[in-house]
Amino acid sequence: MHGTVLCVDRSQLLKGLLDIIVLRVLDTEDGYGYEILGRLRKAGFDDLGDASVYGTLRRLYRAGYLSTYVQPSESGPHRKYYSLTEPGRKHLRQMRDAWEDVSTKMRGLFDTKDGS
Amino acid sequence: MTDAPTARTTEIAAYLAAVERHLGGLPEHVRQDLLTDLDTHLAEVAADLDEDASLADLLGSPEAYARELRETVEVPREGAGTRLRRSFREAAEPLTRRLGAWADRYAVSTGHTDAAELRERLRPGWWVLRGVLAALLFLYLFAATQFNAIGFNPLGSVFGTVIALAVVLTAVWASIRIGTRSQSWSPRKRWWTGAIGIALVAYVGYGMTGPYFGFLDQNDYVESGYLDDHYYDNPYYIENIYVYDENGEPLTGVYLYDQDGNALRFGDPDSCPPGPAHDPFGEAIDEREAYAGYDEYGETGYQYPLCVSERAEAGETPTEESTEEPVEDTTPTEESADPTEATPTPTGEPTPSETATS
Repeated sequence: MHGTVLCVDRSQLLKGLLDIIVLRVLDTEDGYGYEILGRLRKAGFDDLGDASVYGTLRRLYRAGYLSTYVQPSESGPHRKYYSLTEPGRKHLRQMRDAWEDVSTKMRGLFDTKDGS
Repeated sequence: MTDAPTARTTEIAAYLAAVERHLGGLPEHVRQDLLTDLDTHLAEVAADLDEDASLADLLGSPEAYARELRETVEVPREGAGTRLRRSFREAAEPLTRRLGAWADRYAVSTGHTDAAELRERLRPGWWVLRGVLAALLFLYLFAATQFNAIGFNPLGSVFGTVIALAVVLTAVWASIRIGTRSQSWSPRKRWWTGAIGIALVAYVGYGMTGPYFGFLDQNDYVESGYLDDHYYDNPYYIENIYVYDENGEPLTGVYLYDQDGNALRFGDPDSCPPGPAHDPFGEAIDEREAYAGYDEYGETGYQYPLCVSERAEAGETPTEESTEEPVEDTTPTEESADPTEATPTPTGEPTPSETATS
Protein backbone atom coordinates (compact mmCIF):
# COMPACT_ATOMS: atom_id res chain seq x y z
CA MET A 1 0.00 0.00 0.00
CA HIS A 2 3.02 2.23 0.20
CA GLY A 3 3.88 1.54 -3.38
CA THR A 4 2.81 4.68 -5.16
CA VAL A 5 4.02 8.23 -4.56
CA LEU A 6 0.43 9.34 -4.05
CA CYS A 7 -0.05 6.78 -1.32
CA VAL A 8 3.14 7.73 0.56
CA ASP A 9 2.26 11.43 0.41
CA ARG A 10 -1.19 10.88 1.76
CA SER A 11 0.03 8.66 4.53
CA GLN A 12 2.60 11.28 5.49
CA LEU A 13 -0.19 13.82 5.65
CA LEU A 14 -2.35 11.52 7.71
CA LYS A 15 0.43 10.77 10.14
CA GLY A 16 0.10 14.19 11.70
CA LEU A 17 -3.63 13.64 12.03
CA LEU A 18 -3.55 10.13 13.46
CA ASP A 19 -4.02 11.36 17.00
CA ILE A 20 -7.09 13.39 16.25
CA ILE A 21 -8.52 10.67 14.00
CA VAL A 22 -8.16 7.91 16.58
CA LEU A 23 -9.35 10.10 19.45
CA ARG A 24 -12.38 11.19 17.45
CA VAL A 25 -13.32 7.62 16.59
CA LEU A 26 -13.04 6.59 20.24
CA ASP A 27 -14.96 9.63 21.45
CA THR A 28 -18.28 8.15 20.39
CA GLU A 29 -17.65 4.58 21.47
CA ASP A 30 -14.90 2.51 23.09
CA GLY A 31 -13.21 0.08 20.77
CA TYR A 32 -10.46 -2.51 20.43
CA GLY A 33 -7.50 -2.32 18.09
CA TYR A 34 -8.59 -4.09 14.96
CA GLU A 35 -12.15 -2.87 15.19
CA ILE A 36 -10.93 0.73 15.35
CA LEU A 37 -9.09 0.16 12.09
CA GLY A 38 -12.36 -1.10 10.63
CA ARG A 39 -14.15 2.07 11.69
CA LEU A 40 -11.45 4.15 10.06
CA ARG A 41 -11.68 2.17 6.85
CA LYS A 42 -15.41 2.72 6.89
CA ALA A 43 -14.79 6.44 7.31
CA GLY A 44 -12.67 6.37 4.17
CA PHE A 45 -9.17 6.22 5.57
CA ASP A 46 -8.22 3.25 3.45
CA ASP A 47 -4.50 3.76 3.50
CA LEU A 48 -4.03 3.71 7.26
CA GLY A 49 -2.15 0.62 8.33
CA ASP A 50 -2.90 -1.51 11.33
CA ALA A 51 0.51 -0.80 12.78
CA SER A 52 -0.11 2.95 12.58
CA VAL A 53 -3.37 2.62 14.45
CA TYR A 54 -1.90 0.25 17.02
CA GLY A 55 1.17 2.45 17.52
CA THR A 56 -1.03 5.51 17.88
CA LEU A 57 -3.23 3.77 20.41
CA ARG A 58 -0.22 2.86 22.51
CA ARG A 59 1.21 6.33 22.24
CA LEU A 60 -2.03 7.97 23.27
CA TYR A 61 -2.30 5.50 26.10
CA ARG A 62 1.19 6.37 27.33
CA ALA A 63 0.31 10.05 27.11
CA GLY A 64 -2.65 9.44 29.41
CA TYR A 65 -5.30 10.22 26.82
CA LEU A 66 -6.63 6.68 26.71
CA SER A 67 -7.36 4.03 29.29
CA THR A 68 -7.81 0.34 28.63
CA TYR A 69 -9.91 -2.52 29.88
CA VAL A 70 -10.10 -6.14 28.81
CA GLN A 71 -13.35 -7.76 27.82
CA PRO A 72 -13.85 -11.39 26.89
CA SER A 73 -15.47 -11.95 23.54
CA GLU A 74 -17.92 -14.74 22.69
CA SER A 75 -15.65 -15.98 19.95
CA GLY A 76 -11.92 -15.79 20.05
CA PRO A 77 -9.49 -14.15 22.48
CA HIS A 78 -10.01 -11.41 25.05
CA ARG A 79 -10.18 -7.96 23.58
CA LYS A 80 -8.45 -4.91 24.91
CA TYR A 81 -10.77 -1.96 24.71
CA TYR A 82 -9.58 1.60 24.63
CA SER A 83 -11.60 4.50 25.97
CA LEU A 84 -11.01 8.22 26.21
CA THR A 85 -9.88 9.70 29.50
CA GLU A 86 -10.74 13.22 30.59
CA PRO A 87 -7.36 14.58 29.44
CA GLY A 88 -7.97 12.73 26.17
CA ARG A 89 -11.27 14.51 25.66
CA LYS A 90 -9.64 17.82 26.42
CA HIS A 91 -6.81 17.05 24.03
CA LEU A 92 -9.30 16.15 21.34
CA ARG A 93 -11.14 19.45 21.81
CA GLN A 94 -7.91 21.39 21.48
CA MET A 95 -6.78 19.40 18.45
CA ARG A 96 -10.15 19.89 16.88
CA ASP A 97 -10.03 23.65 17.39
CA ALA A 98 -6.56 23.70 15.91
CA TRP A 99 -7.72 21.63 12.97
CA GLU A 100 -10.72 23.85 12.30
CA ASP A 101 -8.45 26.86 12.39
CA VAL A 102 -5.89 25.36 10.03
CA SER A 103 -8.46 23.94 7.61
CA THR A 104 -10.33 27.27 7.39
CA LYS A 105 -7.09 28.97 6.53
CA MET A 106 -6.14 26.25 4.05
CA ARG A 107 -9.51 26.60 2.35
CA GLY A 108 -9.09 30.33 2.19
CA LEU A 109 -5.64 29.85 0.77
CA PHE A 110 -6.79 27.48 -1.95
CA ASP A 111 -9.86 29.47 -2.82
CA THR A 112 -7.91 32.59 -3.73
CA LYS A 113 -6.77 32.52 -7.33
CA ASP A 114 -3.11 33.43 -7.01
CA GLY A 115 -2.52 31.59 -3.78
CA SER A 116 -1.66 34.64 -1.68
CA MET B 1 -9.59 -20.57 13.00
CA THR B 2 -11.13 -22.69 15.70
CA ASP B 3 -9.98 -25.94 14.18
CA ALA B 4 -6.37 -24.78 13.87
CA PRO B 5 -5.65 -22.70 16.92
CA THR B 6 -2.16 -24.00 17.36
CA ALA B 7 -1.12 -23.17 13.82
CA ARG B 8 -2.53 -19.68 14.28
CA THR B 9 -0.77 -19.30 17.61
CA THR B 10 2.55 -20.25 16.12
CA GLU B 11 2.00 -17.88 13.26
CA ILE B 12 1.25 -15.03 15.67
CA ALA B 13 4.32 -15.86 17.75
CA ALA B 14 6.52 -15.95 14.66
CA TYR B 15 5.13 -12.66 13.37
CA LEU B 16 5.57 -11.07 16.79
CA ALA B 17 9.15 -12.26 17.03
CA ALA B 18 9.91 -10.86 13.59
CA VAL B 19 8.39 -7.49 14.47
CA GLU B 20 10.34 -7.48 17.70
CA ARG B 21 13.57 -8.03 15.79
CA HIS B 22 12.89 -4.93 13.73
CA LEU B 23 11.99 -2.70 16.65
CA GLY B 24 15.52 -2.26 17.95
CA GLY B 25 16.72 1.26 18.64
CA LEU B 26 13.47 2.44 20.17
CA PRO B 27 13.54 3.66 23.76
CA GLU B 28 13.22 0.59 25.92
CA HIS B 29 10.01 1.60 27.70
CA VAL B 30 8.33 2.37 24.36
CA ARG B 31 9.47 -0.92 22.89
CA GLN B 32 8.29 -2.83 25.93
CA ASP B 33 4.96 -1.05 25.86
CA LEU B 34 4.43 -1.84 22.20
CA LEU B 35 5.39 -5.46 22.60
CA THR B 36 3.48 -6.27 25.77
CA ASP B 37 0.19 -5.63 24.06
CA LEU B 38 1.06 -6.63 20.56
CA ASP B 39 0.31 -10.32 21.08
CA THR B 40 -3.19 -9.45 22.29
CA HIS B 41 -3.64 -7.16 19.35
CA LEU B 42 -2.39 -9.70 16.82
CA ALA B 43 -4.68 -12.31 18.31
CA GLU B 44 -7.62 -9.92 17.85
CA VAL B 45 -6.59 -9.37 14.25
CA ALA B 46 -6.13 -13.08 13.63
CA ALA B 47 -9.57 -13.81 15.04
CA ASP B 48 -11.09 -11.85 12.15
CA LEU B 49 -8.97 -13.56 9.51
CA ASP B 50 -10.25 -16.00 6.99
CA GLU B 51 -8.90 -19.42 7.57
CA ASP B 52 -6.72 -19.53 4.51
CA ALA B 53 -5.38 -15.99 4.93
CA SER B 54 -2.18 -15.32 6.78
CA LEU B 55 -1.36 -12.44 9.09
CA ALA B 56 1.16 -11.15 6.60
CA ASP B 57 -1.57 -10.94 3.93
CA LEU B 58 -3.52 -8.54 6.06
CA LEU B 59 -0.80 -6.65 7.86
CA GLY B 60 2.07 -6.75 5.40
CA SER B 61 5.50 -8.07 6.20
CA PRO B 62 6.66 -7.94 9.83
CA GLU B 63 9.41 -5.61 8.70
CA ALA B 64 6.98 -3.12 7.18
CA TYR B 65 4.73 -3.45 10.19
CA ALA B 66 7.63 -2.68 12.51
CA ARG B 67 8.65 0.30 10.38
CA GLU B 68 5.14 1.69 10.51
CA LEU B 69 5.04 1.20 14.25
CA ARG B 70 8.30 3.06 14.67
CA GLU B 71 7.05 5.94 12.60
CA THR B 72 3.96 6.38 14.70
CA VAL B 73 5.72 6.23 18.04
CA GLU B 74 8.68 8.31 17.03
CA VAL B 75 7.50 11.36 18.94
CA PRO B 76 6.98 9.96 22.39
CA ARG B 77 4.97 12.29 24.49
CA GLU B 78 5.42 12.42 28.23
CA GLY B 79 6.96 9.12 29.11
CA ALA B 80 7.39 7.00 32.17
CA GLY B 81 6.72 9.80 34.66
CA THR B 82 3.19 10.47 33.51
CA ARG B 83 2.49 6.81 33.23
CA LEU B 84 3.79 6.14 36.72
CA ARG B 85 1.69 8.95 38.13
CA ARG B 86 -1.37 7.67 36.32
CA SER B 87 -0.95 4.11 37.53
CA PHE B 88 -0.44 5.43 41.05
CA ARG B 89 -3.57 7.51 40.77
CA GLU B 90 -5.53 4.56 39.50
CA ALA B 91 -4.25 2.39 42.34
CA ALA B 92 -5.16 4.97 44.95
CA GLU B 93 -8.53 5.69 43.39
CA PRO B 94 -10.74 3.73 45.84
CA LEU B 95 -9.04 5.40 48.79
CA THR B 96 -9.25 8.89 47.37
CA ARG B 97 -12.87 8.37 46.47
CA ARG B 98 -13.71 7.27 50.00
CA LEU B 99 -11.77 10.18 51.50
CA GLY B 100 -13.61 12.51 49.15
CA ALA B 101 -16.95 11.10 50.30
CA TRP B 102 -16.01 11.62 53.94
CA ALA B 103 -14.85 15.14 53.24
CA ASP B 104 -18.14 15.88 51.51
CA ARG B 105 -20.16 14.49 54.38
CA TYR B 106 -18.11 16.54 56.82
CA ALA B 107 -18.61 19.67 54.74
CA VAL B 108 -22.35 19.06 54.48
CA SER B 109 -22.61 18.69 58.25
CA THR B 110 -21.02 22.12 58.62
CA GLY B 111 -23.69 23.64 56.43
CA HIS B 112 -21.91 23.67 53.07
CA THR B 113 -22.92 21.97 49.89
CA ASP B 114 -19.71 19.98 49.49
CA ALA B 115 -16.04 19.82 50.42
CA ALA B 116 -15.03 22.06 47.53
CA GLU B 117 -17.19 24.87 48.83
CA LEU B 118 -15.86 24.46 52.36
CA ARG B 119 -12.32 24.53 51.03
CA GLU B 120 -13.11 27.68 49.09
CA ARG B 121 -14.46 29.25 52.25
CA LEU B 122 -11.42 28.29 54.31
CA ARG B 123 -8.85 29.40 51.78
CA PRO B 124 -8.28 32.99 53.03
CA GLY B 125 -7.86 31.64 56.54
CA TRP B 126 -5.21 29.30 55.27
CA TRP B 127 -3.41 32.19 53.62
CA VAL B 128 -3.37 34.14 56.89
CA LEU B 129 -2.18 31.09 58.83
CA ARG B 130 0.71 30.35 56.54
CA GLY B 131 1.67 34.03 56.53
CA VAL B 132 1.74 34.18 60.33
CA LEU B 133 3.77 31.00 60.57
CA ALA B 134 6.23 32.19 57.93
CA ALA B 135 6.66 35.38 59.96
CA LEU B 136 7.25 33.43 63.17
CA LEU B 137 9.82 31.28 61.41
CA PHE B 138 11.53 34.35 60.05
CA LEU B 139 11.59 36.05 63.45
CA TYR B 140 12.95 32.95 65.10
CA LEU B 141 15.69 32.43 62.56
CA PHE B 142 16.49 36.14 62.54
CA ALA B 143 16.86 36.21 66.31
CA ALA B 144 18.90 33.03 66.25
CA THR B 145 21.34 34.23 63.61
CA GLN B 146 21.58 37.91 64.51
CA PHE B 147 21.49 37.79 68.28
CA ASN B 148 22.44 34.20 68.78
CA ALA B 149 19.43 33.88 71.02
CA ILE B 150 17.61 30.61 70.71
CA GLY B 151 14.21 30.75 72.30
CA PHE B 152 14.20 34.52 72.02
CA ASN B 153 10.77 35.92 72.73
CA PRO B 154 10.07 38.84 70.39
CA LEU B 155 7.16 39.96 72.54
CA GLY B 156 9.52 40.56 75.44
CA SER B 157 10.07 44.24 74.67
CA VAL B 158 8.15 47.09 73.08
CA PHE B 159 10.62 47.33 70.24
CA GLY B 160 10.48 43.59 69.67
CA THR B 161 6.69 43.64 69.69
CA VAL B 162 6.57 46.38 67.09
CA ILE B 163 9.05 44.58 64.87
CA ALA B 164 7.22 41.26 65.29
CA LEU B 165 3.89 42.86 64.49
CA ALA B 166 5.33 44.49 61.38
CA VAL B 167 6.87 41.26 60.18
CA VAL B 168 3.65 39.32 60.78
CA LEU B 169 1.51 41.90 58.99
CA THR B 170 3.90 42.00 56.04
CA ALA B 171 4.04 38.22 55.78
CA VAL B 172 0.25 37.91 55.96
CA TRP B 173 -0.12 40.59 53.30
CA ALA B 174 2.37 38.78 51.03
CA SER B 175 0.70 35.44 51.66
CA ILE B 176 -2.76 36.75 50.78
CA ARG B 177 -1.34 38.39 47.68
CA ILE B 178 0.32 35.16 46.61
CA GLY B 179 -2.93 33.38 47.31
CA THR B 180 -5.09 35.63 45.15
CA ARG B 181 -2.52 35.68 42.38
CA SER B 182 -2.11 31.91 42.42
CA GLN B 183 -5.74 31.46 41.41
CA SER B 184 -4.70 32.13 37.84
CA TRP B 185 -1.48 30.11 37.92
CA SER B 186 -0.87 26.81 36.21
CA PRO B 187 -1.85 23.72 38.20
CA ARG B 188 1.77 22.73 38.60
CA LYS B 189 2.76 26.08 40.06
CA ARG B 190 -0.23 26.05 42.36
CA TRP B 191 0.64 22.56 43.47
CA TRP B 192 4.12 23.70 44.39
CA THR B 193 2.76 26.73 46.24
CA GLY B 194 0.47 24.51 48.24
CA ALA B 195 3.19 21.98 48.96
CA ILE B 196 5.59 24.63 50.17
CA GLY B 197 2.86 26.12 52.36
CA ILE B 198 2.04 22.77 53.92
CA ALA B 199 5.72 21.99 54.45
CA LEU B 200 6.17 25.35 56.14
CA VAL B 201 3.23 24.82 58.45
CA ALA B 202 4.37 21.31 59.29
CA TYR B 203 7.91 22.44 60.01
CA VAL B 204 6.89 25.40 62.13
CA GLY B 205 4.22 23.40 63.88
CA TYR B 206 6.71 20.73 64.78
CA GLY B 207 9.68 22.87 65.65
CA MET B 208 8.28 26.12 66.99
CA THR B 209 5.52 25.09 69.36
CA GLY B 210 8.24 24.67 71.96
CA PRO B 211 9.93 28.06 71.99
CA TYR B 212 6.83 30.10 71.27
CA PHE B 213 4.03 28.51 73.19
CA GLY B 214 4.12 27.10 76.67
CA PHE B 215 7.52 25.54 76.91
CA LEU B 216 9.38 28.81 76.85
CA ASP B 217 10.43 28.59 80.49
CA GLN B 218 11.73 25.11 80.21
CA ASN B 219 13.99 26.00 77.34
CA ASP B 220 15.65 28.74 79.33
CA TYR B 221 17.17 26.26 81.71
CA VAL B 222 20.51 24.83 81.01
CA GLU B 223 20.02 21.16 81.46
CA SER B 224 22.74 19.62 83.53
CA GLY B 225 22.83 16.04 84.45
CA TYR B 226 23.89 16.23 88.05
CA LEU B 227 20.98 18.35 89.22
CA ASP B 228 18.50 16.32 91.11
CA ASP B 229 15.13 15.72 89.55
CA HIS B 230 13.54 17.23 92.61
CA TYR B 231 14.85 20.53 91.40
CA TYR B 232 12.21 20.50 88.69
CA ASP B 233 9.49 18.56 90.39
CA ASN B 234 9.12 20.74 93.47
CA PRO B 235 6.69 23.59 93.14
CA TYR B 236 9.12 25.61 95.20
CA TYR B 237 12.75 24.93 95.62
CA ILE B 238 13.83 23.34 98.91
CA GLU B 239 17.17 24.70 99.90
CA ASN B 240 17.44 23.24 103.34
CA ILE B 241 15.44 21.33 105.93
CA TYR B 242 15.16 22.10 109.61
CA VAL B 243 13.78 19.55 112.01
CA TYR B 244 12.35 20.41 115.43
CA ASP B 245 11.31 18.19 118.24
CA GLU B 246 8.07 18.46 120.19
CA ASN B 247 9.55 21.08 122.45
CA GLY B 248 10.50 23.30 119.61
CA GLU B 249 14.16 22.48 119.96
CA PRO B 250 16.03 22.21 116.67
CA LEU B 251 17.26 18.76 115.82
CA THR B 252 20.57 18.42 114.11
CA GLY B 253 22.30 15.57 112.43
CA VAL B 254 19.05 14.25 111.01
CA TYR B 255 18.89 11.90 108.03
CA LEU B 256 15.72 11.46 106.01
CA TYR B 257 14.60 8.25 104.33
CA ASP B 258 11.66 7.26 102.22
CA GLN B 259 9.56 4.14 102.61
CA ASP B 260 12.09 2.03 100.74
CA GLY B 261 14.97 3.06 102.92
CA ASN B 262 16.46 5.32 100.30
CA ALA B 263 18.05 8.52 101.48
CA LEU B 264 16.13 11.68 100.65
CA ARG B 265 18.34 14.40 99.28
CA PHE B 266 16.42 17.63 99.44
CA GLY B 267 18.25 20.88 99.29
CA ASP B 268 21.55 21.93 97.89
CA PRO B 269 24.62 21.39 100.09
CA ASP B 270 26.65 23.55 97.74
CA SER B 271 24.60 26.57 98.76
CA CYS B 272 26.20 26.57 102.21
CA PRO B 273 28.54 29.45 102.91
CA PRO B 274 32.14 28.41 103.34
CA GLY B 275 32.01 26.71 106.65
CA PRO B 276 33.55 27.86 109.92
CA ALA B 277 34.90 24.39 110.35
CA HIS B 278 38.51 24.04 111.25
CA ASP B 279 40.54 21.03 111.53
CA PRO B 280 42.28 20.53 114.85
CA PHE B 281 45.64 21.43 113.37
CA GLY B 282 44.55 24.76 111.96
CA GLU B 283 45.28 23.86 108.44
CA ALA B 284 43.02 24.51 105.53
CA ILE B 285 40.68 21.65 105.08
CA ASP B 286 38.97 20.27 102.06
CA GLU B 287 36.18 22.63 101.21
CA ARG B 288 33.79 19.81 101.12
CA GLU B 289 34.27 19.09 104.75
CA ALA B 290 33.10 22.59 105.57
CA TYR B 291 29.63 21.25 105.23
CA ALA B 292 30.45 17.74 106.02
CA GLY B 293 27.63 15.59 107.10
CA TYR B 294 26.17 14.70 103.78
CA ASP B 295 27.18 11.84 101.65
CA GLU B 296 26.05 12.72 98.22
CA TYR B 297 26.35 9.36 96.61
CA GLY B 298 26.36 7.01 99.57
CA GLU B 299 23.50 5.44 101.40
CA THR B 300 23.27 7.84 104.27
CA GLY B 301 22.15 10.81 102.24
CA TYR B 302 22.22 14.37 103.53
CA GLN B 303 22.44 15.34 107.12
CA TYR B 304 20.09 18.14 108.12
CA PRO B 305 20.40 21.01 108.56
CA LEU B 306 22.76 20.94 105.67
CA CYS B 307 25.27 23.57 106.66
CA VAL B 308 27.77 23.17 109.42
CA SER B 309 27.30 26.75 110.57
CA GLU B 310 23.61 26.15 111.17
CA ARG B 311 24.38 23.07 113.13
CA ALA B 312 26.85 25.09 115.13
CA GLU B 313 24.20 27.66 115.86
CA ALA B 314 21.97 24.90 117.05
CA GLY B 315 24.49 24.41 119.78
CA GLU B 316 26.74 21.61 118.84
CA THR B 317 30.41 21.17 118.25
CA PRO B 318 31.17 21.20 114.56
CA THR B 319 34.04 18.79 114.80
CA GLU B 320 31.81 16.01 116.02
CA GLU B 321 29.14 16.08 113.44
CA SER B 322 30.67 13.45 111.22
CA THR B 323 30.09 10.96 113.97
CA GLU B 324 26.56 12.01 114.72
CA GLU B 325 23.86 9.51 115.07
CA PRO B 326 20.74 9.70 112.93
CA VAL B 327 17.52 10.00 114.81
CA GLU B 328 17.37 6.90 116.86
CA ASP B 329 14.15 7.34 118.71
CA THR B 330 10.83 8.41 117.35
CA THR B 331 10.52 10.85 120.23
CA PRO B 332 13.87 12.44 120.57
CA THR B 333 14.79 13.69 124.01
CA GLU B 334 16.39 16.98 124.72
CA GLU B 335 19.75 15.40 124.65
CA SER B 336 19.31 14.75 121.00
CA ALA B 337 20.81 18.13 120.39
CA ASP B 338 23.85 16.66 121.96
CA PRO B 339 24.21 13.56 119.90
CA THR B 340 25.37 10.25 121.17
CA GLU B 341 28.49 8.60 120.04
CA ALA B 342 27.02 5.85 117.90
CA THR B 343 27.97 5.37 114.30
CA PRO B 344 26.08 7.36 111.68
CA THR B 345 25.29 4.36 109.53
CA PRO B 346 21.53 4.18 109.26
CA THR B 347 21.44 0.55 108.24
CA GLY B 348 20.31 -0.88 111.55
CA GLU B 349 18.57 1.49 113.83
CA PRO B 350 16.19 3.84 112.00
CA THR B 351 14.62 1.05 109.92
CA PRO B 352 12.65 3.39 107.72
CA SER B 353 10.60 0.55 106.34
CA GLU B 354 9.11 -0.04 109.73
CA THR B 355 8.14 3.54 110.19
CA ALA B 356 6.65 3.62 106.77
CA THR B 357 4.38 0.69 107.40
CA SER B 358 3.21 1.97 110.76
